[in-house]
Amino acid sequence: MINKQQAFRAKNFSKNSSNSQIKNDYLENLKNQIGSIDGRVSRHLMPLAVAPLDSALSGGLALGRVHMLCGMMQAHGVVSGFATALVRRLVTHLSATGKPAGPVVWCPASSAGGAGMLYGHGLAALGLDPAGLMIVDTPHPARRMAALDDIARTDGLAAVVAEYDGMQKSSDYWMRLIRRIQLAAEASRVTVFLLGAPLAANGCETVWHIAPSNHASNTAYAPVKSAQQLWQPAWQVRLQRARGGYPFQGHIGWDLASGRFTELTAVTEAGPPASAPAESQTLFGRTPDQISAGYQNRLTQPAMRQAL
Amino acid sequence: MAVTYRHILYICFPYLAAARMHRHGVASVHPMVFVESVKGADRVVACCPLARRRGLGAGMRLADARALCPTVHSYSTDLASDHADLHKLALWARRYSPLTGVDEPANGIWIDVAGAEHLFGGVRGLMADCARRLRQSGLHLRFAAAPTCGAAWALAHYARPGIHILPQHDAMPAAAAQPVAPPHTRMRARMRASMRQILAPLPLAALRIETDTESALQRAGLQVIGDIMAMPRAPLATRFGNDLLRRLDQAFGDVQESFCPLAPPQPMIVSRNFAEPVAAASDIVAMISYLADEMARLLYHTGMAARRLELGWQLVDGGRHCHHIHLSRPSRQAALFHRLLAGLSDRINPEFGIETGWMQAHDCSPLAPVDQPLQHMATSADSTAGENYASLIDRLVARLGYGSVVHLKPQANWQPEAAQQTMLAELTMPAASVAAAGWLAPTLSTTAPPRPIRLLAHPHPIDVVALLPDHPPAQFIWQRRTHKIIKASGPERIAPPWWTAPAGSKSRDYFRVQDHHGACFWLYRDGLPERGETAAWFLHGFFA
Repeated sequence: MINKQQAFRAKNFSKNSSNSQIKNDYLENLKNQIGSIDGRVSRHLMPLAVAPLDSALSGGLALGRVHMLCGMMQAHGVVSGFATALVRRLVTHLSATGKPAGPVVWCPASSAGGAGMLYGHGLAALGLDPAGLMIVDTPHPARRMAALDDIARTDGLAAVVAEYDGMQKSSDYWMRLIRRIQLAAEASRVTVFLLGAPLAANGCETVWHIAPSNHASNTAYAPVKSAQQLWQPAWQVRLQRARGGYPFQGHIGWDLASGRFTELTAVTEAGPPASAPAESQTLFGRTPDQISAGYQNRLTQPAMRQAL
Repeated sequence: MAVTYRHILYICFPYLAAARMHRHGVASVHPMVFVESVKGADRVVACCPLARRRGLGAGMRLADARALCPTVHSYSTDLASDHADLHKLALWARRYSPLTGVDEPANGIWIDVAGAEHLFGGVRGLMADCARRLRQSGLHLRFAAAPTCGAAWALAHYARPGIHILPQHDAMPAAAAQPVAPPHTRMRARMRASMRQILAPLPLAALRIETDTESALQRAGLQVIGDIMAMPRAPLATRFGNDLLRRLDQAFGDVQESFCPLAPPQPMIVSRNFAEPVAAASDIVAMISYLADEMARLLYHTGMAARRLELGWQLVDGGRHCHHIHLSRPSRQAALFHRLLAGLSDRINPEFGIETGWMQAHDCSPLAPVDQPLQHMATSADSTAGENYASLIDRLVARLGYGSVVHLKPQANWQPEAAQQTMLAELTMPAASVAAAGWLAPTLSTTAPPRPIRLLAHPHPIDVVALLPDHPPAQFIWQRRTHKIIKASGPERIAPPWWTAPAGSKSRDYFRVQDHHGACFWLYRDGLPERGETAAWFLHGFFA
């Protein structure tokens, strides 16, 4: 807490411009105090290894906080995809600290809602282990949200992902809900991601808007020989709000092989990587014996066609 | 009025082991015997009705049995299962009388039906009911009822089936001044006569005597019970031992004999009765908390842990309600019970008041008592995380309903809908290893067919512009929005499993496509145009 005496001294220092060293020290101290009240100083950050994004986030994604990823959940899978990539990165980050990361709790929207159900094979392809995933499957979004602070309070979880689908609630409800989840997550240091349509009012640490990337390198035709090069996920990311940071807008890709975010800057002439297997030997990357193993699954001629 | 007579129903199951094998799916086309190694030789201890008809029986050597019937299948005898089956049958027989017991060496059960037979229309009705129910469940049985245990045993094993000797009801006035004589002296002479008459032609083995004694008696020319009934007792005792006379007296009721009645399993239940009906919310919370504490204490003292708790309450008008709570693993922690039951008080509608509340533990299993400090010392940080995880599952299941917390399990199936299954969450901490789990993408690279991260449970029909026969779509219309396709890969053909799929199931050609906005979709064409099938297009999933 800043008492009156300190404030008085600060006023005196500001008048005395000659003693700039002491003044700077004092201001630094003051910033730290305010920061600790805000919760900015003691927070743990996870760098996303994309320089402009990390600087916009002032170092990285804050762990033990509530983040909101907004987008059209029913029209495409990019919001879930970006959340999966973040969670995958978070699991790797936590595992790197020594102890194994705990399970991930995902509270998906009802599969009747149009967003589809979580598909383990696709999650595994993005690098997130479905075996470490606990799915809380309840059709009522309000009950799901009400149970969220109970989940977020649990120690030992890697991350919590919750989808609020089509909930028409007052901004007051959201402020209170997010504050409650925030307090629970701070105590247990569990990072919470909320997925859904954009909300007007919220008190989240960061607010992201995720859309499919129409970046030239993503949508342009490239004479690509391997599926790997063609189908790297990419998102149009708009960081609308970040506590202690500043907004950001850009196209972020995901490297499947290394499990890293990449920044899509310019149209690169993508050629086949040196290590890529010859197309004649693989079909969707499967070797002939893998194909014969899936005997009921007859595949046609490998085709990587260009339409339009 | 006190029952002053005894009436024992004895049921013997000669083919108990065979019936168990049939229950477990062993076909009854071959005769089977159950053997036990006695003095180095395999001897038959039990057989099935088919083997019995072929002349096989207990006591025979397996080699002899094979010689008699070459197709016989032999199994080693499983006494523990036999005993468990008998135990279950004896517990089931408590529907007829509270006194039932197991006669383990002879594969039989005792039921003391005295005073209870009128509920089933007399002894005959009771025996018919019992036989009908047991035969319906595929059991062969021999049974008899008699006033003494010994006589019932003898008749069940050696007389024609279903025989019974009716006991003579005690006609002595209850208010008689003289002391009541013991039952065996009160047994009427007429009944003794009828018992003598019925038991006399039975072989001596019916007296449950040792095999040595029986063969010694046979060597002396004594074959049936009638032979020794009239003989002077002293020489018999001198020559063949007291055991013979004791068994004889037991059969005729001159010496009291009883079986050890089975104690029924005690339900794990605690209850609270109120002097006045309670309806206040605080009282209900207090009742739940009291019951949870008592239940935890009861479980601790009996060394058990419950997987399911039933909280019940009875209203003033007699209406009974209950609520079940499922646990992810057996537990007896009061703190856990409190937490799971915390939200329940709001759901109880006391109406005009609750008279009684109870809590019953179901699916109990033994749990060794663990010293709390030791447990803490033994656990590492990981296992405390596991504890938290398991209790989180419990809390969520209690809050959101049974089946609301699931895991994804891969299935060895190419059909996308069937390739993953949701299983109820277990308490085990999942092992973080993609490779071992059997998912289609074992590594981060795309050495696997593409699979979406969200799969539509029911594929959406879409309007597609595509070249035949197997070109990817050029554009598709979904939810009145046109998606122009700029990139596509495929097709990946997934045929329905012909051995299970219903007739008319078509092969699907899956395409991964990207529209001009950059969103990726998983589409498929149902039906192959080159086979003359009408092709319809569907949207099945979304890629990241």
